[in-house]
Amino acid sequence: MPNNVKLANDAYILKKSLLAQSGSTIDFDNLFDTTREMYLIRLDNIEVSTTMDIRLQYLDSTGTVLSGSNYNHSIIEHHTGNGQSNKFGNLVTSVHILSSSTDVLAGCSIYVFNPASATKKTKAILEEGVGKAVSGAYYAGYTGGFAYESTTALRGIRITTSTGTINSMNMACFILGTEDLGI
Amino acid sequence: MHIVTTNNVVQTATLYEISFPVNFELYRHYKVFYWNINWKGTGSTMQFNLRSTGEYRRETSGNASAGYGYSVRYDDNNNNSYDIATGDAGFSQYGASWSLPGTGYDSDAYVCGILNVWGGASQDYPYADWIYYNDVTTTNYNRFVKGGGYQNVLGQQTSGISFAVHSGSDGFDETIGGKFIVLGTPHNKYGAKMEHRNKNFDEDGKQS
Repeated sequence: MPNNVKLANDAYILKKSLLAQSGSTIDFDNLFDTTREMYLIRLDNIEVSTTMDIRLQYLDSTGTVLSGSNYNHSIIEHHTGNGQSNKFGNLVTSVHILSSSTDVLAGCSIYVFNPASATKKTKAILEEGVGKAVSGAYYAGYTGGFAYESTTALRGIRITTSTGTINSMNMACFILGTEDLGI
Repeated sequence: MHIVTTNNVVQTATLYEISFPVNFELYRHYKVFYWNINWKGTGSTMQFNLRSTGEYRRETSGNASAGYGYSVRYDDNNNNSYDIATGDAGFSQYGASWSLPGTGYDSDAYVCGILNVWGGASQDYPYADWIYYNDVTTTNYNRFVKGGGYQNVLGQQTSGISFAVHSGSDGFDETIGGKFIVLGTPHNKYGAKMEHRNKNFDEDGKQS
């Protein structure tokens, strides 16, 4: 095999992971930088103290939480019992990514685009999530998108709750192995 | 999954379509991440299409006679209606797509999303699903779209996947570019990647 021929490269590279984090607010800082435009954040094994909404905010380039009314989100909750609900927000202070309760473990995968850019808004796709609806106690799936409607450079996320605490959750942040394309 | 190719579109001429070569005999599932895509015409729509031939950047031939079916659901960020769209049950040529108003010249507006395509090899019915999030207007009105569809023609081998602006007087907004990362699930271990190298790009997608 010629030296300049590489074997197939796998796509995802783990950048940072943390296990068994807990609290009513949990910060995951220093995830984003200007070397990448796309990140995959996986939240899993989320164990909660009570029935709650799980929300997301961003941390700015100094690690300070951004709690102003700059978040738009459109999240579809589809749940057992043949039902669905829109989790929407127009210029609100956080993004509703999941709901959950004490008898399930929640989790989701989120792709974040342009978080470290100071010229483009940060957008994200919640590709898939699972949890439990607050109303009706239905097991639920989640998918949707959200945006931070300002061109602020971001470097991390904060996970918050509507009530109660997260007893434990894991976080992993992945980048793609495209090193030299400005991507 | 492997990184099959990447593309960062920087185009000075009007561009209506961006396409990628694919080979479903080597990769059974393609997953395309795309972002920083905007288009100029406010009445234009963006579409995903399967191509009978594929090449980088643009090409004009397609599966003109093929039938597609799809269904779509979308949700906006400013109301609680379910916003279900039936989609096209009539298998139109451009069925593997859905329409959004263009966001015009808002320089920081763009669409981002994920497209999955399976089953494009010979003797297959190709099928796909997609999600994306976009500005609908420039006044903080956003929309999430989720859809799925298939091509109702057996054995019409898919050699390309394209993103196209349709029914518009102008194409993509080249000032913002357009970023694409294409991943693939190989059918055979390791060998597929090397055989699938495009002549103009190395295995990391770097132009050579």
